[in-house]
Amino acid sequence: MDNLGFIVAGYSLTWATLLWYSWRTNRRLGVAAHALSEWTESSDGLTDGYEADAPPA
Amino acid sequence: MIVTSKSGLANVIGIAALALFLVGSFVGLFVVPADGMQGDIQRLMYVHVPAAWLAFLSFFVVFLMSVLYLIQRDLRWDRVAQSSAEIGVVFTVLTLALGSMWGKPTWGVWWTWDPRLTTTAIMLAIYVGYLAIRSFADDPDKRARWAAIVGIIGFANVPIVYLSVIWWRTLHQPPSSPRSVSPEILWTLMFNLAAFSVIYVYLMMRRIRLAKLEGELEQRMAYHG
Repeated sequence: MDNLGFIVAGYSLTWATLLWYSWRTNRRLGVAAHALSEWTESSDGLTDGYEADAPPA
Repeated sequence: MIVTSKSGLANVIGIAALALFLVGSFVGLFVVPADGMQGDIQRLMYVHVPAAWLAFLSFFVVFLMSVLYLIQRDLRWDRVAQSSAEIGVVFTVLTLALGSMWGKPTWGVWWTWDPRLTTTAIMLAIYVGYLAIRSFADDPDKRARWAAIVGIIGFANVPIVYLSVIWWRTLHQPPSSPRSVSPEILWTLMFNLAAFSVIYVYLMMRRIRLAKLEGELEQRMAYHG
């Protein structure tokens, strides 16, 4: 396969970018859900059913 | 992790996207024959072109949701527009980077001020600006209004990007027609386009959910100080 370095770099970059963005979004989602859950626990009468597990590392 | 049926569906779509892209990458790299003119480097087309198409789709969604927001003043449309703009920026960065990797061995340069490349770089700058402008307004309605105006005006550049290879003599090749491409290449490209579309749906589901939670947090903080 000619130009192997460019091809491997291109596919690796694509995979790494999409996986990174997905991971980052899910992590932010976990942080936001946890913050909202903490907020509802500390504010009586504001519960609206959000559930969150432990905060992401 | 939030436990809802929506996140369950998103996970299923995420796994499907991963599986489709694994197969698409494998076929693009090892199964489909190399292009007769360009050789193996043309295999980058199976990720470069879908990334570009999904960037166009993302920004069309921003345009559509911006119009809907200005008509209905419903922040749900703004959240969809914001999410699609962010994902579109990721796809545009990928498009430019992959194009550069394809350009170096083919054209001999990483970058040239070719109309397609230049208009794509302008498109990236517009949507980075779209995301940046959102941080200048604290009021969600004002922020959504400003963003919607940029989302509508900024979209004018997207057809220019697409048509640049037809309007001007460029180094970048014009769009191929299905009749000028071999069936193996066409089907591999379509398969990868489908994989990228499922990836877009998955990312949108997660990003819109995030925008909704962040909006609620912001609302509560504003209300309670």
